[in-house]
Amino acid sequence: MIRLVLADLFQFLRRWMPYVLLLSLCLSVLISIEFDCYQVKQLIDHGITYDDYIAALETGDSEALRVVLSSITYEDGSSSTWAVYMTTFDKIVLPDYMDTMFSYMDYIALFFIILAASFIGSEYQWGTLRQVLARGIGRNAYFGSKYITLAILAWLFVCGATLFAIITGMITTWMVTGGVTWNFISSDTAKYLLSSMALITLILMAYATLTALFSTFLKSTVAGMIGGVMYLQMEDYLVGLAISGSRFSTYNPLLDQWVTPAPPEWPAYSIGYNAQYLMAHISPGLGESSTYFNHNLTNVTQSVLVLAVYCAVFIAISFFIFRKQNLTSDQN
Amino acid sequence: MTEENILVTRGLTKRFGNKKKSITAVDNLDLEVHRGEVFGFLGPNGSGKTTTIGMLLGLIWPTSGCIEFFGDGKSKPAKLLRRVGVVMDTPSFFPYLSGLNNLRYFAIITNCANRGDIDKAIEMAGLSERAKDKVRTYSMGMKQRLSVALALMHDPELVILDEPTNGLDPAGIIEFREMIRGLQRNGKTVFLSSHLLSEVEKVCSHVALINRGRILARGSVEDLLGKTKAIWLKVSDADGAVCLLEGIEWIKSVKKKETGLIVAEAEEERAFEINELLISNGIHVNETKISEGSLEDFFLATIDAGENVK
Repeated sequence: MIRLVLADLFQFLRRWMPYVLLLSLCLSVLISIEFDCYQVKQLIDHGITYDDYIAALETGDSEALRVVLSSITYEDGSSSTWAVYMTTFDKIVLPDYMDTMFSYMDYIALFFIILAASFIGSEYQWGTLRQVLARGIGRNAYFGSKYITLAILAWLFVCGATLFAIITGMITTWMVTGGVTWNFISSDTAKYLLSSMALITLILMAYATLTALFSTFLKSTVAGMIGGVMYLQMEDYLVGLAISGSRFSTYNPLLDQWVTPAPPEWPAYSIGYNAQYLMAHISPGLGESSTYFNHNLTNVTQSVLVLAVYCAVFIAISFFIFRKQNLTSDQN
Repeated sequence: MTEENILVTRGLTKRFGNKKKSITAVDNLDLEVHRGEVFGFLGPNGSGKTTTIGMLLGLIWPTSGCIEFFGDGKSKPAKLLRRVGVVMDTPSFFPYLSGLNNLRYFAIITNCANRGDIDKAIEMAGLSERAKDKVRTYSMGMKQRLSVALALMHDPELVILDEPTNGLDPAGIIEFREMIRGLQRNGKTVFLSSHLLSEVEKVCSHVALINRGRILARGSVEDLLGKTKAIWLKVSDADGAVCLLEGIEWIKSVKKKETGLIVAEAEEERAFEINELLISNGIHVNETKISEGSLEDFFLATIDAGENVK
């Protein structure tokens, strides 16, 4: 099976697709972080430096961190103020920059769905799957190696994105602080990075195995992509709908009090909710801004377990389908 | 001396569809291919050739029956397929890889060929100059040559060829014929599925004729062609002659050609009986010619007759 994995890496990493998807992900993250960079630039233009931020932090006064960039008073006496907190510096300075980068990787699952669908579906389309099996490779070994390779690709994908984040983080840190110190490298940072990368890989694998299931069942790349994305969207919508009900209180005249309905439990067993939960665990800023996030429904261990079970179930069903399939030439 | 079986199928059957509505693509197929034979597997389109090969290669699950390679009924078929070289009906490769890298990929997964074997196979296929070009830039004929290189790079004992001359130009077909003869000289066994009867006749020592999933005839080419001759008749009333001869039991088939000739498939010795019969029914016979049966004639006659000649 190791040979199959090596051969798959040999062929797949020669495609342009994984690099284009990775580049697209990195660009989308760069676009997302551009606003933070703009705010920091405004602070610097107003003479606020990173050292001022450190000094303000030491005062312990949160108001000292607030910088009013502009203020307008209207004719009716009302006014509007544009103020930026100096904590924005953290968003583009290592090591907190990594947290920001992870929170902006919204599209990573979408990109990996495309990649996984292509990885499995293309082999049906080109007929290379038949060529491989006709050379005495067992179906179990073939399919097993596909999932191992997919996991390696997910890990490489996350590594690529993380490396990109570290490099851009070093650049922005250098621009803000005037140089890069290696103080951010510590065992805690390494632990945070590795655990975050592992969790993101698990999230990607949940979506990848689902996509692979569609691709295997329908023997198609496009079907895998559509199936994966549709599921992602549908689930996101349904979970959002279910959770949003518990975000609003209603007045109960009988009890004479405002009542907040308890959130339903089922979202805690969905892929999307757990993926969101883990992303928020990696990047707490994301959890606070999430529209339907509810911390009470699950915990990290449960989320990891739920996603792992999904992966196992999807792989088992795909195996079952693949072992039964007749691979005629009409699909190439 | 008993001949060594390289490929045997017993009662091989494949039905597609469900219990209520199913199509039998291959029906109770018994085949025996012996070492050193060039075995032609003939049949019209949709006769079950590719389905049979799919079952041999483990791509299609048989409904019933068994397949045995190299006289080994105990090992897993997948393991034995490592000793088989295959040219599929459609050349299938990674389009973004070069021809060379495609062969490397398959060499990695099968662990049966080294760099020297790959280079040799590429040279044999006449692809040395284009080996580093991406497969997506190859013509159909070049892809087919690459398939041949892939099939032969690990020096297999049995070579299965499914419509291998698809996409080849006449020069390529001649080269291909020579390659098959070369394989035979080197003691390889070849299983050639094709509907190009003249090609099969030129290279095959044995053939099996399949139609609607059933074997209609099988044996050595010599034996099969020796059984019937084509009797060409130039007559005064071709339509009347066809009507008359169609009802005769010992005439396998009667065909009217565009030139007004009629061709009857029957034993050579009975040509005079045909003559007499036509004359006694008022049809003048201007010319009678007996030709050696070709595989094409035999093929058409057998398909038409739809009977099992063994």
